[in-house]
Amino acid sequence: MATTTADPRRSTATARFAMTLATIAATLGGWLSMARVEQPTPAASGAEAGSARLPPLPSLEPRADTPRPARRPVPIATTRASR
Amino acid sequence: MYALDFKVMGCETRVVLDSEAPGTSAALESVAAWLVECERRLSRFDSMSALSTLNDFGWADHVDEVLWDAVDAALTAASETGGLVTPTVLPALEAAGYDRSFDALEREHGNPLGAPRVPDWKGVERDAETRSIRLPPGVRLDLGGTAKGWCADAAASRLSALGPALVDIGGDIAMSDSRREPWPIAIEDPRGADEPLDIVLVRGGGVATSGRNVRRWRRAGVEQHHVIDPRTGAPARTDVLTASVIAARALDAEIAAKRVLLEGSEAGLAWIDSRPELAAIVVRDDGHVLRSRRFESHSYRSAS
Repeated sequence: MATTTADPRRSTATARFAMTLATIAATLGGWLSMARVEQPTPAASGAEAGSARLPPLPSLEPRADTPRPARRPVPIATTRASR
Repeated sequence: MYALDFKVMGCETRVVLDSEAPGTSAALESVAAWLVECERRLSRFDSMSALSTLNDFGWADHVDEVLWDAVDAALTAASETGGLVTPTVLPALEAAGYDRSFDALEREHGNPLGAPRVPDWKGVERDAETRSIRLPPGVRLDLGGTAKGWCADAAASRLSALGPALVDIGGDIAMSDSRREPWPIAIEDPRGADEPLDIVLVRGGGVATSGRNVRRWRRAGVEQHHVIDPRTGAPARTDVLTASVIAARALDAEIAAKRVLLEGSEAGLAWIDSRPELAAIVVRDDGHVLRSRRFESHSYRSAS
């Protein structure tokens, strides 16, 4: 019956490779979690940051009672004293 | 829309036809030629013109239609203004130094001349049957106060058979009333600003400006201009720098603008306000701009 014997050099290399992968994964995970923390939350952008909350912008639709400025036409001729 | 720009009667002139119909360009050229012919007959600077012949001989029979109608317009203006806008100012104009076309005029005259009395226009006799005109001794006519407005009205009327028409002779503007949209007309600011005083929207009729901000010269150190006050025989002394009037015809606008200039801003605008068919904007010597009561309704700002 044939038996197999583990190569101690190969198992060490495998273990190192696994550790490297784990380190990379941990580093990436840390970066990702830092990026999430740096995103301002809605609450932090307002009162918690110390700035006053701005009132909502008025609607861009003109009110019915707002006089519209007349568009200046291009004149066809000009009256003037005769030169 | 087609437009033709050229010079006639010493003025930049524009004729416009708001039409795409065949023959539009030819019609504009035809009316331009007619205006040149009017100048040839009505100019006091052309010794061969029909007007010069009348002035030289003191009478003329069977005068052509253009001279007859232009003299009729000038005498009607005199009648309607109590002699304030009269064609009999020619000797006074020449005495002030305006004795040749303005382009040829010396801007600095040395010799002072007295202001001659302006003769009464009522002495001019006419016979419609023979188309005869008789001038009293010493009377010579200048049609410069009314001829451009009359010609602009007549030219616009000729063009209007082909479509909405506008004729602008040196700022005296006639418009037919057949256009769907009003004509936008700028009013020049005589104070030298790049922007116009206003832009008025006119459905038809006329707009004209009278002013002493142009055609000025000096005689013996005294400033002269081309608007003679027949009451003094000298260039008008008035607080009005320019008066622009909107009226039913260019001729009416031209007469009314001269009247406002001669009467002064207060009396002139009071008279404009008494006439429902007129509106005016006045610039005074001191730079103030005054409007008649009905002027604002013509401004583009009122069209919103």
